[in-house]
Amino acid sequence: MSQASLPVEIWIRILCNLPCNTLLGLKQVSKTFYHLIETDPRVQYALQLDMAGCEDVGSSGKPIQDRLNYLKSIETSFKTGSLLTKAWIPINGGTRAYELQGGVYAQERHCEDGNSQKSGINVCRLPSLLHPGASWSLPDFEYWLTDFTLNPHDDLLVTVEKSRSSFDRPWIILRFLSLTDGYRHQQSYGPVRIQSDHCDSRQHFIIHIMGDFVGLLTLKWHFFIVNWKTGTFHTRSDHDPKDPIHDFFFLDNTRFVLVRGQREPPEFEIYSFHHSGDDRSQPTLLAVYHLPRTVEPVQNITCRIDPPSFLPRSPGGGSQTKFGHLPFYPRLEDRAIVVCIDVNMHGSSMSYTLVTRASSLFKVRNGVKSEARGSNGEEIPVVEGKLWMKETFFIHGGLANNYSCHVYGSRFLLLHSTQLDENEASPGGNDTRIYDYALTIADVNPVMVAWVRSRLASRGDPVLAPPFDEDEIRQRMQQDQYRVINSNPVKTRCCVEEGWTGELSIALTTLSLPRESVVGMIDGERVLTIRKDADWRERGRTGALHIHTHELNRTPTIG
Amino acid sequence: MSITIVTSDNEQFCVEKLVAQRIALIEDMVENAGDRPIPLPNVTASVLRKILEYCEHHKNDPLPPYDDGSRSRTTHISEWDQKFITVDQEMLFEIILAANYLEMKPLLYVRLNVPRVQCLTACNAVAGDIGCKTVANMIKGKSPEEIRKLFNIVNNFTPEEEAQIRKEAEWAEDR
Repeated sequence: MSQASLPVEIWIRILCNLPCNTLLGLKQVSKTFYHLIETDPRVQYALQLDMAGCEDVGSSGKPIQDRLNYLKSIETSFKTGSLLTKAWIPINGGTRAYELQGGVYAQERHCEDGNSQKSGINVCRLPSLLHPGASWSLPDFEYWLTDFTLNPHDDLLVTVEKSRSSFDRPWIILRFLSLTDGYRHQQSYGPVRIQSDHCDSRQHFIIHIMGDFVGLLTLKWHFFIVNWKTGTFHTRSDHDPKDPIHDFFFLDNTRFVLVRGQREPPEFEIYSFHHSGDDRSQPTLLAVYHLPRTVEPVQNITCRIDPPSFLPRSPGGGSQTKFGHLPFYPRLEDRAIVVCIDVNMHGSSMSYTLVTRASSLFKVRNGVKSEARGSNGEEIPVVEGKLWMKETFFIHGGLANNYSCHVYGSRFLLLHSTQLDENEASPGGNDTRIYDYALTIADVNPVMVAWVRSRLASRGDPVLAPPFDEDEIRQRMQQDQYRVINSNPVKTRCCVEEGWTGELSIALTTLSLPRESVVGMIDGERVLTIRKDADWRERGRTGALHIHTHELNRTPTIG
Repeated sequence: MSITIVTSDNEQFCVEKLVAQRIALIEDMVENAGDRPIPLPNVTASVLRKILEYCEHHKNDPLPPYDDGSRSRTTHISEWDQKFITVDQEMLFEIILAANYLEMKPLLYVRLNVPRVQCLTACNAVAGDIGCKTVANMIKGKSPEEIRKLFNIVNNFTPEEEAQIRKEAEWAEDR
């Protein structure tokens, strides 16, 4: 039996099932294999997808050669940091809320017109190979917008407003609108109202979309998931002051995670919820994961994860929307979860950052103890820190704070500043300090980590070894574009009780940026920064949105 | 109702229509053949026996549960299929070839989340058939030399070429 006994077509199907490291090894077997892997677009596409930690959406209808070229162009740019500034869009007026999803950037606008306050949303389909780019303004809303989010795949815009009539208790109202015209989405059941017993001072809610579901957490008071097409509530939980929910995120269309920060240690609760039409049963607790135990109470925990808010293989889904979307998306299990833990230590706040991959929350582990935590007292697996901490990266300090961490798939952005002069911030709020800004793309994809390691090794450049401090990371990152960082138990000034040992490595690629950049965002094909004008404060926070993207011209246009 | 199939080595098989319908090529041929036996000049009796075993087992298969994509990209094969495909390499390749010729996509592809009719048209892209997945599993984790032995492949690289290719792929090992 020789390889010739199977036709090439079948070998191609076999090769498309193999992970990238096996394929790279197979190239050494014979010239035939080498040629097949190097030249066949299907095998190349499978190889490149696996290396990028991506999956094909399955029904994009794009020729495989185009998908391959597109993926290569994007990946090369992210890998080498050659994201050129392609366009900029002016930003006027006070930007309060902004959002980047699926190549669409939206930001809130508001103006005061005599006695009435008005708010609205400006939308920008960013230029890409799949779309020339377009901007439009949705008409003013008749209500005061509190927060919003969007899912361009379904042409969906979800707005949140708080209303209080003199006769009634306050309401939270969710509206499901078309991103195209700002009017009610045709598939929407209609607005959803939630009565709120508590006056919530928070301006922004935590709101995520996953396919047909919208999850909302209002400042530790209420958490619910609602189906925006049917208006059905799939879960609803009220506030327990002793056990508040600090954050939540979807893992996929059947699972979500609640973050319980007040527990000792803090916990991730992983739930599955039923998504069949009329099922109103409560979600089932699947597992509990311990987070690092802190000496002093946790102030807050925020999580950053960017699941694709669409379901690529859903029936009827995956077809091209008017916004156009990439023919591939980050593999669910390879996504980065960035957790920022704020601890109140003797009156001042200390930050810790924990990074892990979503796959760590999917695994079945040996040695897991069970506790009677289910709604009917059933035994639920509780994964202690020691069982999964090696799959995390843990560091003292705000590697990622609320305003500077944006995640897409396995990549996340760190926008950090180093003060260049010795000016103090004046009490009047007029900040005259000069900062040097660096934007770093961090990646937990093991292929990327291996690639950066090999680059460093080939130059005899050692991987950063602990112990190190933040300043050292910054300094060294500025000297060189690539780094791999490993975490180690942080001992100095530490208020984490147990020796949490993380062994996850992160690859870093640094881009240098003009110092006016204040916000960094990332999606599947670009990095966005908001650069403020010189008179940012005086003229009501004007600036420009800068789009750093791959070399569009080198790849063929996808029709 | 039954259908008669004649293999390349002239053996006759009497097959229940429901079973035969799992094979797309036969389903197409039945309409034109009338009562005449259906010839399969590319398939031997031993291989057809194996394939009919598969069809018999899967004849009443309901549509499998919807695949939401959260599964990892593993080459998973069901227990029965795994047992069925545990054959020597020659038979494995014969089954793959016959399934290919007979247009038996489910046996070729395990992408069972679409109805069979769609499977026939839509699955031509990337998919793992039971046979192909089995071969892929055989390859996984093996060194180039082991793979050459496995499939009787002659190394036609010069030592320099081989060293060069190995060097290029080095970074992806042990991860």
